[in-house]
Amino acid sequence: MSLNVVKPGIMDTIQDMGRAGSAHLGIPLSGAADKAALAVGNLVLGNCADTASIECHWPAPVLRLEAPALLALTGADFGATADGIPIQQNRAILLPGNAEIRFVRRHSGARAYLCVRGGFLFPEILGSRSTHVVSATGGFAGRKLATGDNIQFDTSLQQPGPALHASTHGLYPVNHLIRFTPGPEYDRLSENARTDLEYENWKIAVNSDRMGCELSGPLLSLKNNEEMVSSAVVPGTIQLPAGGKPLILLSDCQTTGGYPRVGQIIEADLPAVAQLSPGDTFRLVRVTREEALLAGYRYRLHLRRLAQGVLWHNSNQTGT
Amino acid sequence: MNELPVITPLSEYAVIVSTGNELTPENNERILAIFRQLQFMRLPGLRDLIPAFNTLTLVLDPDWLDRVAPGVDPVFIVRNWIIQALRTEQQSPPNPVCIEIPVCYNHPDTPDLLRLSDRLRLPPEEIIRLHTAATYRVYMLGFLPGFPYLGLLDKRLSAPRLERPRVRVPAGSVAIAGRQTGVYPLASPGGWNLIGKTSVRLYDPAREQPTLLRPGDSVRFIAVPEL
Repeated sequence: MSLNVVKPGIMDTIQDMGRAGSAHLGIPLSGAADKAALAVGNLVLGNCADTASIECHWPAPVLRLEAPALLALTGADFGATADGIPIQQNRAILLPGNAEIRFVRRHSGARAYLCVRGGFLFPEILGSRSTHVVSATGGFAGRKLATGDNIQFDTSLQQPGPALHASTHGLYPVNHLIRFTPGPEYDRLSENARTDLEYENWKIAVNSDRMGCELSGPLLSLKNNEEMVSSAVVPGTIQLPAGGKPLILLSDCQTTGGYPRVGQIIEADLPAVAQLSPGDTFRLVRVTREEALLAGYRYRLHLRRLAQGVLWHNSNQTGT
Repeated sequence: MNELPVITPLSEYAVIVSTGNELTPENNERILAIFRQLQFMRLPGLRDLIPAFNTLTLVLDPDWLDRVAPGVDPVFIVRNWIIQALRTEQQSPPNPVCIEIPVCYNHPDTPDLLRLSDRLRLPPEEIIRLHTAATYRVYMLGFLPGFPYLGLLDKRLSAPRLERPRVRVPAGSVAIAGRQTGVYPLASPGGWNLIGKTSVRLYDPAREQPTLLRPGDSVRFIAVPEL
């Protein structure tokens, strides 16, 4: 028994926390772009945070359950409904077999996560179930979901859970302020570029996907144009390609790159970047390494408290 | 040899170890020696290793850090690991593997061979002879799963990248740029000059060893009349 894809969205893929351990072979990390949302969805179901879920973009898919399932929706709010009844975010909900899940309106965010108790069942490729579409690796046959795909889950685990919902308050930064630390080639930025990076408004350009998002704003210039030797990049690295438009790398980014790495989005704020859509604006705020490490610690503490059953709210509404 | 390399952060949990700016096989071998040693040490908090030409980047597991060394800057942990790696007995390089890749240079997917012949003032046969004469070192893998950066290419074949990268380079394209040569494992956008084509699969996620090549391997190209 399974979940059936009635109509695919623009880019629905199976994702977990990613394919760590293969970067020396040029294999990208992949995994959920918003790893906080994936963790929350899994933790409210009692799953391990790394369990495989479906990552949806807008337009999102239409899905039909073939058996009852304990599900959780997190990340972007795409106005999810089950047979027309709105589904609350960030909590476990038991849906009956045959329920149809639709996303009716994009309220906020760019990526929604649909998690199921026990996870969607796919074989691990190099230690992960994540899909890397470019290299046809992992997930559902290495590709995005298509009409008629059947996604299996363990039906024996789909029991009603407590009506609690997870607090994400404090998990995402407020006011579209995204923190970064200077990257290894930060010193190569011109004085003006350094000021612009911090004090201008940045907009997500149309040319954005799971590999990275291009920023539109002032063009940034370098002090000199000496060629850089290719070296490692990771999700969150802010690269500056030749045209002067910065690029924030996301989960599917290459393992190495030859453009100056002028900054690095801090781990705690990368989920918020993954929830920005083309046209959204934000500001970059420079922080010290110590501040970044502390913010990362607080971010993981929040998720750990959720895993321990703290930071949950009582919810009077019962599942549909 | 045992001089401590320069250690700088990339992100909170990714730390770059670099051995100098010169792109020599010796510098790259220093990087790969540390890479092999760290792999051999099986460090529990080490999530990924990314060797490149003259840098090795270590990616640490933040949850491990919180458990074992909360509040400690990963830069210090990496420094200790590197000191340990340089002190302990070096893992000898694995038996040198030389992988031969058959290449068809007279193939519809080699649009740049004749253009380069004009530009470099070398007949196509001479380009093929020079490209197949050398044994190349796999300096690193990157850009795409299994894409090898091979060097050094004969000076006479050195040509710049295309000004406008192609939107789609077919899988198996053998390409050159500057003093480097490589093979596209997958169809992808690309800016290198395409001079040959191979049917060898450089990346297959279903294989136990998913990439044909590993950093430090040697490669020779063998000209074949057809694929």
